[in-house]
Amino acid sequence: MIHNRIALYRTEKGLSRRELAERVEVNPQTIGFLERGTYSPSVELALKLAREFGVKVEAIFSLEPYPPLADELGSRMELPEGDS
Amino acid sequence: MRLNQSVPSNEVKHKGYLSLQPGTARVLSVVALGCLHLGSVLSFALPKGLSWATLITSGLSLVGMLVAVIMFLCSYSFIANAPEGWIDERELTERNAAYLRALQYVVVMILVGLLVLEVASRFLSHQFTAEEFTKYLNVLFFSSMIMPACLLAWRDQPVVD
Repeated sequence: MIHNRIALYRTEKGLSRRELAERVEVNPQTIGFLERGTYSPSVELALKLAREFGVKVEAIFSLEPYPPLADELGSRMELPEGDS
Repeated sequence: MRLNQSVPSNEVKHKGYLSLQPGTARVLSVVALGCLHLGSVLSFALPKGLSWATLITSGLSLVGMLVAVIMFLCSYSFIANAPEGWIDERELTERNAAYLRALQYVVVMILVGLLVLEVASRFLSHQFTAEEFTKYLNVLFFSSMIMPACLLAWRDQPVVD
């Protein structure tokens, strides 16, 4: 199973599923299938999505589940020891 | 897998086909396959020569065939038969899977038919008539024709923006 952050990047870019689908030349339903993780894209589609979002393909797709965004942000916001 | 550069929109692709909602198509697929199979099973099971039994089995088969024609004219049937360039990679993958399932269904149904034939002739001393064979083949034919579209309808999800 391939995990992805398509929904996150799409929302950040302010795109609807239909708009993103048009940009990467697939059926709008395919974006829904990708976001739900019920379909794993071809390399070509993965690269097109990465190009559309302006990031590396590894930023969108991963073999491991992504940690919750809140945890990731929380760990970045933690103050170094001794700064309190 | 190849991603076609110019996949037309659904509105363009499905022109001339009945555009059914996934829910409607699912109900129709159940009605079509259910009526065809029930009509076939009842025609073997019910006693011959009874007018009400003939009416029920013929009615079920007729409804099954008519709904099968509707399924055959819907947009899911288009996806099942569309040229490769007109569907995207996910639709192509799902279509391949649907045809594989339809093939498996036909193979299983042929084996079941042969088994029933063998059991009936050996243990029940019943010989099937040509008319009964024709009915069974009709069910197989119509079911296998619409099965890919039915499976695609069950797999489909509405577009949510």
